[in-house]
Amino acid sequence: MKRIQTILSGVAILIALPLMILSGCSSSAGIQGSSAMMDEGAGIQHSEYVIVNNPKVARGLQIVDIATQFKGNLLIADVTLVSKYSDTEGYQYKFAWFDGDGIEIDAEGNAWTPFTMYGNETKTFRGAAPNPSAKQFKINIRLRD
Amino acid sequence: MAILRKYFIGLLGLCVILVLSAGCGSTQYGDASNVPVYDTDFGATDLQQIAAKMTTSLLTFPPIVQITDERRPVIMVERVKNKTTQHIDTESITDSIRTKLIRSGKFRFLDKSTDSQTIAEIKRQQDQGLTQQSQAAQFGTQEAAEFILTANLTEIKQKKDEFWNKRTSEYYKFTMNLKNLKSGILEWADEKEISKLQKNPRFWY
Repeated sequence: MKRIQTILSGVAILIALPLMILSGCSSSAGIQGSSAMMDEGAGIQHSEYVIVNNPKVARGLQIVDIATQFKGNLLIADVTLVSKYSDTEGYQYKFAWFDGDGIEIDAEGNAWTPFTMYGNETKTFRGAAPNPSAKQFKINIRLRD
Repeated sequence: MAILRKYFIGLLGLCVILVLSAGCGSTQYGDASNVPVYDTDFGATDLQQIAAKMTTSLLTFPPIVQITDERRPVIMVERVKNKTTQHIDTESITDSIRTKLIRSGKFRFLDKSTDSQTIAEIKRQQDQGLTQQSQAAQFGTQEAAEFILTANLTEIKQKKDEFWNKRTSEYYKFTMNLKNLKSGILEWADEKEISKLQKNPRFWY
């Protein structure tokens, strides 16, 4: 009886272990670049930062430039990425736009856009704010499903 | 009885497989911003990519930025010419683009598709005697479109049969133009290319 229990435990571990490893691999987190253009009275204040939520994505991809400008009164974002791998890798990106109070604008209106980065390639992605109330943006980048 | 005992483990295994496979079926909500891709046919992600690219391109094109800084031009959208072999609801592509452009606050749109309802309502307001005539909508007062937005969707499909795999490559090109109705000049044009690849094993279904 004890022997059967031991065998069953072994089988359970053998089944569960690969499943646990596989589920750990599929992370929806990636890297996030952000920029804000706030009119503070004494001119436009510009701030930007990059957050790494998934070291695996950050090992292969780097945000090298975040450029923001107003065209008319619409916030435009240009984000430049560089692949640190020599192989081809698939990613997705999504822009999110925020007003001056930090409230997200049209949260459901932006979809994940797939893209491919070839070895050591540099690519720039442009996003336009949904409307003139946008003063900040974020770009989220993650591995393609 | 002896046969039953002999095949008991096999039958038990079969039962376990059946139970497990029956348990796999499920229905759940997905994420509309990240719709799964199953084949090379035109899909929701393609529509979203096209709408985003065209809107961004139009809103950031310098001459258009200059025009929309001064006023909100009136645009009419023509149905996309579907030159693919697939049945695609191309109106949903222009609907998405139109919605994004309206919400940008930079353009105003005329909607030809609701003209018959508009005519019926104006007639009702004028003829039924229920509406105050000072407030009733009149014929011939609608604004004219300054621009017309036209588009084409084309595809190129390629197939390759290998010993182990069947490969399909589908290339889509969406071209959009903004034409000034008075001058006939194309003020803006852009295109979005999408490539989709599929590999199916030949001996596995």
